[in-house]
Amino acid sequence: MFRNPLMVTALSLTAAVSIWGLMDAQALAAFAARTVSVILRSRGWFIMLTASALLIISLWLALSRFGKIKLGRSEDEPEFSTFSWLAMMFAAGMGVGLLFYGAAEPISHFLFIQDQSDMPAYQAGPTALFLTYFHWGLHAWAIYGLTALVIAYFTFRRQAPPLVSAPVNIVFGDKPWARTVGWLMDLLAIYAIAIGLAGSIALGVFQVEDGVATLFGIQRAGLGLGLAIFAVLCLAYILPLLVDLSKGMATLSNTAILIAISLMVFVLLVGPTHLFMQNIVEGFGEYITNVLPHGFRTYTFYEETVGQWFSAWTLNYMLWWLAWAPFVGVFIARISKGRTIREFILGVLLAPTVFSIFWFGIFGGMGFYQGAANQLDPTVVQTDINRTTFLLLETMPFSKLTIAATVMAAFLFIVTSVVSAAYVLSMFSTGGNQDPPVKVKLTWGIILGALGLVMILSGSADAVRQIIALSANPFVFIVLFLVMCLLKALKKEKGV
Amino acid sequence: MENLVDTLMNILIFAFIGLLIWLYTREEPGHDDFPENNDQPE
Repeated sequence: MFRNPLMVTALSLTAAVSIWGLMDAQALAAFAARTVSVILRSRGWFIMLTASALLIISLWLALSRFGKIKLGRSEDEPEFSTFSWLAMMFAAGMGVGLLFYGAAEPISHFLFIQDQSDMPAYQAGPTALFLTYFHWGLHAWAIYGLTALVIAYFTFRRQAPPLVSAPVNIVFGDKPWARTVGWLMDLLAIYAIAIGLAGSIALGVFQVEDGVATLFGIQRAGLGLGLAIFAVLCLAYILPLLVDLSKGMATLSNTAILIAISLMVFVLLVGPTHLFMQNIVEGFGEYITNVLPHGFRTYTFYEETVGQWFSAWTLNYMLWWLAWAPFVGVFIARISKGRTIREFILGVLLAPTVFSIFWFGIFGGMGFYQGAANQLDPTVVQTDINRTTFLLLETMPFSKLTIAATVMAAFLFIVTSVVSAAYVLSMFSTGGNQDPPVKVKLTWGIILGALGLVMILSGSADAVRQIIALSANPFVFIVLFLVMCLLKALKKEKGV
Repeated sequence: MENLVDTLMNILIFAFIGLLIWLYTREEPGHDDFPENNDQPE
């Protein structure tokens, strides 16, 4: 295990960040915030251009003659039904973030817009929802989708190992520079996955912690409850790493997504249903009309506070999706064998985007509605963002049950994500071995746990997002490099 | 100093975009031959 240079370097790098964070989490968070601020100031335009370019390239590939190319051999058929395929993809890509930001994000944007302008509430509401849809919609899934497409194409059609480096080695051959670039890409992918997943662990623990505190009326003091939940979480994901529970993990993942969908349907039916549906229809229209131009917006001539909002939300989200792209990309690629490029891209782009519009339309709409009816204090998103979902559910019938269900779904999302991530990290660090040794998976499980603890110690969702953004920054370049390899390979395959 | 860092970071991006275009357009003889036994799209 320790004879593999990639494995040793990746473990050392992630372990060094863990140790730094465990010794002084606040210093790490402050360093991440400073560096990310410089990067986003200089490269914000490039990040937006990249996200928009990836969306446009995806749509072009789906609609062009390349769309007919199958991800696999001609006789290969899809392994999963279309519904299961879409459900698994969505659970992997969004997971706990949906529970965390469902109501909190639209309310945050709403308050910011009202604070910055004299826009009336009837306009600020739809604008806040549009911004949320933009963050979770087509651009996010284009980043995931194209990364997954590159991996799926080279794995199933060109019989390469499912590694980020494989496209470079196939397209450019066994040249020293290609080997070095490929090696670096694998290393940075491992690093981005580890940090991104650790951030997700922290957000999940913050969410579960607030849910448990609300459920049992516990007064939170210090980190005690969060660390206790973290300890239970570690026990829950270590077992699946020791024994092969692949079918069991799929069941857990499906249970989590079913709970999330049930919660959404519950809020839709118990809340003011017609308002939600109006919200969704209006938001959908607004989204499809403005999504492409908005992808190029960089808020150049706005006040500094707007620029700071743009960095803290839009650019951070795009970097977040980039941080998760190698992990989610490998996962989506694995479940997509036998689908055509057209089917793949349209499925990856459209289904999760429509679901996100429903999700945020309902939870965000409920947040606005309760805020207007004085049942929910919207400023909770500024004082204690983690509690927003629970405060919202508390004002509704069967609140104990729905809060318990949210806590359960968040917990399941984290466990399944950590187990899958430990597998992908092990596979990457052992040269694409699709059945990596247990000790390697366990080592990554421990590293992910340590990094997750660092993120929890950093103390806030904002600090977590800055640390993730820092690790994801090189992936802007890597994803574009991978897409260039795919386009070059497709050009050659079609003899253009 | 701030402007220098900004300029350098953006020059890096311009160089990267140039590199991508150059790599995309140049021929790669002897590599990336598509396996003949795979199906060809219509």
